[in-house]
Amino acid sequence: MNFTVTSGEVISLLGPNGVGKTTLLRTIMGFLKPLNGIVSLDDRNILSLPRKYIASRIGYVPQINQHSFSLSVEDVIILGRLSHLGIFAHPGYKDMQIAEETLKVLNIESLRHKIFNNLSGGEQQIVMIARALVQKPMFLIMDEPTSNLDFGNQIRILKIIKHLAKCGISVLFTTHLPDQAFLCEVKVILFYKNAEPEIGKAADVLTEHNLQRAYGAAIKVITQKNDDGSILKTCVPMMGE
Amino acid sequence: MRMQNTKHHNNKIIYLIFGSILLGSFLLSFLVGSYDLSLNNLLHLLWEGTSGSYSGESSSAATIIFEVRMPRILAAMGIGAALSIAGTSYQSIFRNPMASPDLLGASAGAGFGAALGLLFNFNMMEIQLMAFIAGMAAVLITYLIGNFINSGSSTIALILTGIVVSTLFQAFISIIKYTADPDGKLPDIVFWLMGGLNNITYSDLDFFFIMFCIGAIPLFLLRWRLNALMFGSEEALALGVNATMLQLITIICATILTASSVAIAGIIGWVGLVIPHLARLLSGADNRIVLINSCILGAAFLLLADDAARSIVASEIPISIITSIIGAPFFILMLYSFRGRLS
Repeated sequence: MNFTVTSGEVISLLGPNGVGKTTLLRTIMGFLKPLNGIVSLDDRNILSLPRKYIASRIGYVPQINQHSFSLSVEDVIILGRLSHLGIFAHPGYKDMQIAEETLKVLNIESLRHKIFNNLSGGEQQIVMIARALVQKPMFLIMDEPTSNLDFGNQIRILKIIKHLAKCGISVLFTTHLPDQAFLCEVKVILFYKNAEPEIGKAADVLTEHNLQRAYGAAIKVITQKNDDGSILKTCVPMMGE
Repeated sequence: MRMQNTKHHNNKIIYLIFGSILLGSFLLSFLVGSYDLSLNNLLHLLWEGTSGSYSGESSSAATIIFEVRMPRILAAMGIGAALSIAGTSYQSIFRNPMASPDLLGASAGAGFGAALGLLFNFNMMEIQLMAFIAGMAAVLITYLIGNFINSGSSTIALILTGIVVSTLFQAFISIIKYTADPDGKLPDIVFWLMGGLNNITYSDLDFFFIMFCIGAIPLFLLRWRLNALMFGSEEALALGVNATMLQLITIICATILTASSVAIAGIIGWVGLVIPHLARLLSGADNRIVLINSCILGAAFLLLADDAARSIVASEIPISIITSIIGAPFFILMLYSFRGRLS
């Protein structure tokens, strides 16, 4: 498999549990050494680049995990400035301003002084996105940004992703919901358990046949006509016999 | 900007309160003891310093202040600060509010190293070095085994391993006690292990403060970066922090602080656990603030604990008894407040 992410492109990684989506993201981030092949950033092998440089180009939004300390939201997102500051430096006025702008863009200014651990899952996810954006990256890598979120929050995250793409930031995200790929009209990489993944437009890759092959369950792709005449596709898993 | 101002404003108030508590305990500590000093007299003599020449009454007061109580007070502040900074740092990099010099095995390890040094009649510098090497070994063993058992960052695995490693090094200490000469070395080692500040001299302090600076200054300079490690090393990497290097520097510095404290005053438990937690309770978890706060608070706490140790009963009781009596119930309270979040 070979793929390139260019500016403003959104790519959704789909596939069954345990197929290696998260592993791929972690390899791209340089947390893991690739088993074979290379990951390159700006035409250079990512393993040869300093962490600070990578962080100034790629923002990483991990799956939310609880930690035991009560940092405030502003303490969390200002950490995004680490990659832009010297080793002993602390964030200054300019960094605070970038953090403030990001809070405004994501519409979470009201959370600023709240304790991160006390936020809802949706809010925590948006704060993690804010932290990555404060890094001022060109790429954003998100590990299941919508898992554990309700419909309202899922849409909120997808809207943010679309908005970022419009601003020229490329986004690579994993998800368990093919519907989201249809909604955002993105490029898709569909992983199979024992075969080469398929890359292409959502409409081309996410066929009933391919989805059944990937997830091992019968899946219907239903075409729905919206009130404004646009076509929306959605996937429904079937119980079968 | 509002966001900056309110935060800085609050911090200034907290620093001011903690600073006053420390100054108050500092002055109070001169007045505690069998020799009666008036506050007036004390302030006057402190102002004059050692340079003034004293006669009669004030000469003996000056001796008490500068020769007897001052080294002890400086030691209490330094050790309280050192153990608290060490605890705060360990907790951040192990992502674990229960981590502390005692629970990670650093204290027991350093205790073993120092006891060995005492047994062989080493000088202070050599004892410090022995304490550091053995303390470092103990923390690394805890860290590696804890990681091996549970490669996430499970609180329970790390703490249980720390307890095991502590017990092991306590056993090594017992071997030293067993081999020590019961009329000479043994009582020395036993009393020193119980923890106490009664025999500290200025020359011990010189060496302690050098070690203190070596351990504390890097941690102070890097303290904001420790916040990134609270999210685990992968997230820290993604934020542009060289996580492994930062962890290693932190472990080395925190262990230097622990070992240098143990080498001059024996194993004084609980300070490194209780104080960072208290500091976070009062000012949030941001290490830019917590590290400074726990340093001031730790200094004040150990001063007051030492005052209690030398004034509760006629003869002195080891200070670690006082810190344990305060620390144990506090630990239970902490366990209670973290229930359900430990694994």
